[in-house]
Amino acid sequence: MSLWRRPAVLVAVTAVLMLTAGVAVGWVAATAAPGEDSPEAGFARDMQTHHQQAVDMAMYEWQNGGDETLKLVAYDIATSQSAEIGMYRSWLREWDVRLSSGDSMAWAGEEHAHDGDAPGEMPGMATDEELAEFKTLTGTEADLMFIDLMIAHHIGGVDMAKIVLDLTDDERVVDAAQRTVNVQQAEIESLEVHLDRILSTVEE
Amino acid sequence: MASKKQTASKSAAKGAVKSAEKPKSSQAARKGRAVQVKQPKPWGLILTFSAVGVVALGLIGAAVFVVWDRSQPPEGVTTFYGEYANYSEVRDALADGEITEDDLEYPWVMQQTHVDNDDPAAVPTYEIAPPAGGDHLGAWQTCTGSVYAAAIADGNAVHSLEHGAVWLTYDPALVDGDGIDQLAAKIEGRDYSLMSPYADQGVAVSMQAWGVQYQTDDLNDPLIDEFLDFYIQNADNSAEANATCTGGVATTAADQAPTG
Repeated sequence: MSLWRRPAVLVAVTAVLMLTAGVAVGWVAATAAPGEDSPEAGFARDMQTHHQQAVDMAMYEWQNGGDETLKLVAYDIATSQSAEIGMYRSWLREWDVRLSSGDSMAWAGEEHAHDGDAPGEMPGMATDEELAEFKTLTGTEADLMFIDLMIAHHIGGVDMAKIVLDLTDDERVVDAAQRTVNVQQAEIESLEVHLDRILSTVEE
Repeated sequence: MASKKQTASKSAAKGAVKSAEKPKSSQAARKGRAVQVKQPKPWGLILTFSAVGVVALGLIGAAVFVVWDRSQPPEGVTTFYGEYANYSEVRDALADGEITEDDLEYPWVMQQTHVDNDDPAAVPTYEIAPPAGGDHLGAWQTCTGSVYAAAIADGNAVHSLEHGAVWLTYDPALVDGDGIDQLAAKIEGRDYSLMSPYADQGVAVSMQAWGVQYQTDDLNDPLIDEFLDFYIQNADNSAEANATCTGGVATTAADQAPTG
């Protein structure tokens, strides 16, 4: 009862409570999971799709390629990228956002909307026609096209990872994107060495 | 001196008087407080702070509702899981021995055999058309935002549903070219979805995910998008979680038709 008689005390108590609530809301908002339209969620969705194509191509090379060393590279790509797909998927489920969207690269901002071959396409993706052609090849022909497609694919993947590095502070996303840049950059160089080696054996 | 004494006694007397008066004055104070209690309650303050409390509770309630609502399936979707909310709940009920498959109204929601394992020519049959789950073929239909111009095999499409895809079918007798383009725009480039014509389905658009279906004659029905958003790779509705949409078959009835 006496509290009602002291408006100043009441106002002070309320002010402190509201300030606490404001700080709490702000803290929650700042540390909350990335939202539906965040670069983190968009990156995870797109990388899931991007990686799946790499797995698809690598599995074909593993089964139909000619060069044993390159087939081992393909095995490595298929298994490691499959594991990363699971990682992206668990992020998306944890963040409680959609698992897929029709707007590829929308998360990357206007300046990157045209990084792919067509508007809204991810950079480095093989076209349906390229993929269909690749899947008619075997032996050395498959090896050479696999290297071509996979180098382009990795360059695109590195681009996407660099874009998200500019846009996020989320530790997990930064860590994964940085790893993608390092690993895929190294694989591009390694694929180029394989290309020279296989070409030289073909010419002999 | 005398005057001093006088003063002293005066002051003593004063003190005596004061102390004598003390109980009286504290009584008066108590009386005063009692009077103040009887003053009208500060309704303005009470109402103001009550209103602040109500608004705060309302905001918390709204936030809780939004979070809960996001986890609810879109309204109007036909589910074949009976009294259970989704695939995971039925699976758990079966695992706990609460029910057997015979207790299910649509046992096919839990049937996931590849019918062509032994006999490559075997083809699954379905209770509903288009089908929304059940035994299927060993190969899935590629469902990486794939738009097929001709009909595809039910058994391949159902395998895609098992992998977490949403399958949009349209009745070619009810949807014209512009309508097909409009629907294709929702599917193209959207991983874990596929679209194909389905003759005689009797409704313009039918959406299928594993164990659920939604049908509409309105191409602008917002539930088409909501269905895609909610059911693609839905964790509670994954008949085979974490499977892929790449590497399936991409053949249609047009490929298989005799060319002579």
